[in-house]
Amino acid sequence: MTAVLVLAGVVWREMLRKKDLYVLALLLVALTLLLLTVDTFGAKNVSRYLLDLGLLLIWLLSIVLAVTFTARQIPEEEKRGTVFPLLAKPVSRWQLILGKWLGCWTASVSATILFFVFLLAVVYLRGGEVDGLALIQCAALYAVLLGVIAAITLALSARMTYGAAATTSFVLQGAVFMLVPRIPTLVGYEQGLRRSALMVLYYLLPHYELFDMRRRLVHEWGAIPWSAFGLIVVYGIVLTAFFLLLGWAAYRRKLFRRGEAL
Amino acid sequence: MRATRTSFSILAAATLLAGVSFALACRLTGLPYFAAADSRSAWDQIFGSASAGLSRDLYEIADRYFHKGVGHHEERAFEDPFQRLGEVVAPHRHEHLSADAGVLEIMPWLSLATSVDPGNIEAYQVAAYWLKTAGHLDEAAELLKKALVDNPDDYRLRMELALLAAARDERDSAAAELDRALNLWPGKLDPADEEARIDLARALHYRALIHQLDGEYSAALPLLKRELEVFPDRGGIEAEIEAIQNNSVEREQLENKWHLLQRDKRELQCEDHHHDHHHDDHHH
Repeated sequence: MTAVLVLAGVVWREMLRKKDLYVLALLLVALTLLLLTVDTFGAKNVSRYLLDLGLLLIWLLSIVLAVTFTARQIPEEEKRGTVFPLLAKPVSRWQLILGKWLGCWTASVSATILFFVFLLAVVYLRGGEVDGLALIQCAALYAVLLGVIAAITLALSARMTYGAAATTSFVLQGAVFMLVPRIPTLVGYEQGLRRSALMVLYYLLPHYELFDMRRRLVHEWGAIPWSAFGLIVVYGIVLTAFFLLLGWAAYRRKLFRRGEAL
Repeated sequence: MRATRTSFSILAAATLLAGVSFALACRLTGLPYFAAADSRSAWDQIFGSASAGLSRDLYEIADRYFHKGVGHHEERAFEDPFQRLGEVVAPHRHEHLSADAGVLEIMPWLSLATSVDPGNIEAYQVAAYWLKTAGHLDEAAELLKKALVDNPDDYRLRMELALLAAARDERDSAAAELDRALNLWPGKLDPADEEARIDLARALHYRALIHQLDGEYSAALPLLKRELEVFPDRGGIEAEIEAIQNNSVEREQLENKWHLLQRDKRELQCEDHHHDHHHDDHHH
């Protein structure tokens, strides 16, 4: 466990050293300030659009951060050759995968919490209010989702270069977000093979829509029952464990030589 | 020598292609489709429909906000535990915002819709209606003034101004705006359009009411008759015409109608077909 935590700590230090987080944070600040300039036809204390678009921005930016940051971990260790001294220590490949994932996940979640705090401050200054319990549930489910996304990306990067893993992950996340929730409707318009293919995709791909409580939060529908919340968290943990196992299976017998360009 | 020949061939091919495309362009612009004079700028011709589409999308978002984030119902081919859990997370009940419960939250989207396409009159109307209903009369007036700059000949904006004047109990001003609206009707709309006909009937009815309140019964009569021509099956108008002709108009009834007009409780049918009741204060 110590090895896993040490590896996660290294990932954290790397994130603080690199510029990605700061660039994305600046982008969030700039775009949020831009949103403040939207005309509301003179209506006061109008803030729901700000929360809505702000949360969307946070989702996008933190997914960008999680994917780009996670995708580069293993390929860069191999490219720089630092993977050799690392694996020469008493660190198993399973610990390497788990440590990298833990570092990337906690770093992305911490960045997201910072983004949330900034957005909430702006919304409160604008006169808006947010249901505390719904906010906690929304943030917690999103944190679980980031864990799933980091696990998928790490599994891809176990056998791909940084660019390929990041691109594949982005395409996959986009497809899952946009396609999966619409499949029950789309299936009604299809027959035969296409219908079967859609059904396979529906049960094969993760259901990110379950982690999305933004609408509840923005439109003041309140918190969800804890039983449903718990079920979704368990679903997220199972997904994360599955993709981490997949990553480990792909990485455990991977051969690499010194000086081999990745 | 060979390189020179290749370059010459490329140059000749390029010249030939340029000539063919020029000739084709001259031929195409001579066709009736292209020959039709379009007063819009090149920018508007290229991006006009795109901005109108985007404006409609933004208006749709405003509509979704009005329904507390719930979009239009989509038929699903099957049900499963994922969807049942998803319905717990994403609300789907049919609820509305109201004047005293956050309806002004739709304003940024309507503002964006009108910024993208200043010709989106419906967005201006909805914004003005809810600003007025929420008691922001000055803001509604300001908004309509801005809308008129881009759409000076649209009767719908004049009607909104008339209703705003009525809300302020400024009867003369309301009458003047209704006269302008009637002069501008139908504007860009098709006179046979159902919405346009309803608007015309409303404008005629409101103007006739103000005439009657001012004691000008003879001026109200032709307006009510015209309204009856638009909707011949409206028995209430016939009764009103008869009352004027028989000198039996009740002042109290007129005052009550004026108060209703001031409150502007429009009873419109909800566009959500999975929801079968009607609403007051539902301007979507």
